[in-house]
Amino acid sequence: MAPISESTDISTIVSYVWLGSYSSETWHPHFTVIDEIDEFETQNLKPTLIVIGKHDDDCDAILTQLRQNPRTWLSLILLEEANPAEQYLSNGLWGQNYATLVQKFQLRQKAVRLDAEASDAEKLISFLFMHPKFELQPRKSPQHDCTFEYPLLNAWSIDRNEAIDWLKGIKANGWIETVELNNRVRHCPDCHSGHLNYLDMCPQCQSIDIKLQSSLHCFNCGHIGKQEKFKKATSLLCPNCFSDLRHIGVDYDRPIENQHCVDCESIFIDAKVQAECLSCDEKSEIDDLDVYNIYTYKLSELGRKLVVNGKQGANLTLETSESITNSRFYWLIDWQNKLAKRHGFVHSIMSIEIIDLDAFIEQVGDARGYAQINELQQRINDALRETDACGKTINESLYIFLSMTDEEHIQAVFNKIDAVQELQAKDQIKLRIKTIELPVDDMGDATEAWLIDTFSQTPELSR
Amino acid sequence: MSFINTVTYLILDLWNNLSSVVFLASFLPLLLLYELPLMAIVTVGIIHWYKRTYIDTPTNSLYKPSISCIITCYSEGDAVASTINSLVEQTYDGDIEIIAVIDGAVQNNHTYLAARRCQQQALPANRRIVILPKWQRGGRVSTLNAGLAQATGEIVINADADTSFDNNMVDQIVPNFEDPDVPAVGGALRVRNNQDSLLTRMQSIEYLISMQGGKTGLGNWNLINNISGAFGAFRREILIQIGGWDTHTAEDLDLTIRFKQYFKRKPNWRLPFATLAIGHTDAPSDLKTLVNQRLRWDGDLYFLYLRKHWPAFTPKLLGMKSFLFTLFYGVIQNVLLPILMVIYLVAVSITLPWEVIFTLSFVIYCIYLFFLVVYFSIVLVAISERPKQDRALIPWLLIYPIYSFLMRVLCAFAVINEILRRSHEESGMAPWWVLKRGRKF
Repeated sequence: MAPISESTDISTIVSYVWLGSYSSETWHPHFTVIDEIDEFETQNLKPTLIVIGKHDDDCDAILTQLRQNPRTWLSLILLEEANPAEQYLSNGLWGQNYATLVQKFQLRQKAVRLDAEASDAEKLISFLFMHPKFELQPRKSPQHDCTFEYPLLNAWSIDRNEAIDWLKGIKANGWIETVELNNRVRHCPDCHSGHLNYLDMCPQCQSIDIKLQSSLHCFNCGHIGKQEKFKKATSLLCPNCFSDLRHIGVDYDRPIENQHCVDCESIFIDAKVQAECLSCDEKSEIDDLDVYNIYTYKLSELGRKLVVNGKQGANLTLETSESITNSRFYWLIDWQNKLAKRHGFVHSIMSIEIIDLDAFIEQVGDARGYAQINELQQRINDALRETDACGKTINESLYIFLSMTDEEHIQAVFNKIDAVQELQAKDQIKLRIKTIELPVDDMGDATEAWLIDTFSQTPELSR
Repeated sequence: MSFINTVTYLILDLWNNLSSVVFLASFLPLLLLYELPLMAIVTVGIIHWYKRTYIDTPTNSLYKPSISCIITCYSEGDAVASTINSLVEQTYDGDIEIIAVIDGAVQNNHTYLAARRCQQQALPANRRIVILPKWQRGGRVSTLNAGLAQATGEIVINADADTSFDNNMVDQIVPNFEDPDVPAVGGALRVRNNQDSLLTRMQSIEYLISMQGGKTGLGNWNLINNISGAFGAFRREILIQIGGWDTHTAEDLDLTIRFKQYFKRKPNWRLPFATLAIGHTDAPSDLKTLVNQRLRWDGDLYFLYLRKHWPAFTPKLLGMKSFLFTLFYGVIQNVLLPILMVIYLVAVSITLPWEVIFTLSFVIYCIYLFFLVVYFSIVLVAISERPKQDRALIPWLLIYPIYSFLMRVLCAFAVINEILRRSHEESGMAPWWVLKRGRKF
């Protein structure tokens, strides 16, 4: 077997485009200067970096078009002058530091293995990977029903009304994570409009004709009424029992109910609040409204691995059985344990874990690191017979169920994997390999906990 | 049985002798000389007041000056909230600024926090609460003057943090100030913890007859003896002009005397008493606190009249009317008579057999009780704004003469204590280093 090599360097041609009026500076690279966005098509340009020069047009619209255009959506886009749309769609301001930006951009370009065109979600994480400083930020958009939008997603024609849920889905996959909670909105459960008018009303008769009112409560007779009705020249007199109310807390007090309904005369503490939808006129209880948290997102570690490794993921996996769910895998172990006890079989479970994965990636860089993991994984897959093994990656460990494999045979499997490990080039990925043998007597109900516990107490296998 | 027979005989004999004017004059000279004229002055004053208040056609005034209430807070804790709230609750239409000055706000943090909580409540537009913490303790006088420096109202009302007010208090005070010749007005105090003990019930009766009754009557003749430190109202500019409150104890009586010193030069000046402006305060409920309070009050009387303000104790400043009244009912009655009474008491107990002492005491008790009942009835009918509550005190009147007698004895001790030991210098109302810097008298 040939040693696993470092990935070869692919040189990419860098092209710079200046959109709008251009004035040359000595430190500028060579720019292709264009006036219209159409010219990307006509001149067959696929630029690495685009600078939007000073202009009178709507910068927001230009940026949106550039992020929409298949030739330019992933490009570095810098602005010559600051613009409010900057943080939502561009990569910042044009300046002398452009060279580092381009260099890093190119390095990242080489690392990408994921097919960005496969779906919008993959497009998003590819974009976030290529522009690591970029955070997907929401923007207030009072003119739309949704009231908040993500301009980048708008440019990709993702319905702004569905963007919040869509992002929630990607976050549930673990590909992106939240940076901060920017806001919270409530939408009409009927038409999903965020344009709501909140009405406080009488809890008795639902009338909105309510007023703040100071009331008094006479201790002598218990009468509660408007303060004005108690007033005598300079003192207070209960209009019901005619006793003098001289001292607060002794003769009278103020009920905490300080709101009053003009229509039904009831008094109350808290008005009932309803939301009236300005778009569809539907009235809803506050609790029935759809509540959305509006977050700023960034790429997660898993997302990063996904972009670098393609769909296979960053962890060691067995291709044949990766599709079974965790719970199915645990069930399988439980079942096989019971079978083994009954029929006197011996099975084994092996755990393979990469030692200090993060440190390794940091040392050799994303692109090379993940490539190397991929190669290693491929070889482990080749080394195991399909019939022997059913594996599952859980908590960054690959668990392999090896049917009908006793201690003696395990050593053979270990030797194979160890050999694969030895075949790596100079920066080696170190594996930690452990096994446990089935059947066991007391696996208990929680197979997952048993598995983790037992492996944590099992010593590492060694040559 | 022989004891009762003897006493009965002596009482009948006295009763017989009572018909003789000569006996009456020789037996009860103190009473005739002092108590009866005073009672007459007060009773006529009350009648005048009653007529003015309830019989004359009431007038409506548009005079609505801004008010500043300075609350002197110390270790009262949550009680300060009741004071602040009762001021917020005033039915007065004008502006009221409530300034709570917390003396020693570091050690009295609980009071400070209670006041801060009041500040956070929603207030009507014409009420404002200012909290003024004095981190370093400076005593009552410095607290009052700090509040005065902060006050912006035309009228300043001072209040103790353990005193709360009826909601028409300001409405009752303000009309008095419509007369530009009124620099200050006294307010009435009631005992709010009268249910606490026998002593608070006694003080409740005492406040009712001497504060509400006595001051109403005296106020009518512009003879008010003292504007209480727990509740008084002043025209701010004049108060600042005469120098605010002065250090030493009994700053309230001191201030009242200093107002009176202008009476000769300002013959139209009046110090009225607002009978229906009611503050409710906590009276000492145990004997020790009460004795200490009275030792202070009565001793201070001697200190102020005969030491501090002795040079100004002249008709040239006070005017003849105030001079004479203060001489008889300020100095002689409160300083000299208690001592004479104690001497008389000692002499009687040495010279006379105890059956006679008992009989004499019983007769004097009956006479006092008689005048007390008459006087209390007048107050109850003419003045009391809470007649139902005050009627409940009637059975306790039987004990009151004894309480009153003991207080007189205490007064004598207080005066002797002040004369011999200069007790005013030991006041607990300010830290020692503040008292030390005041002028010595």
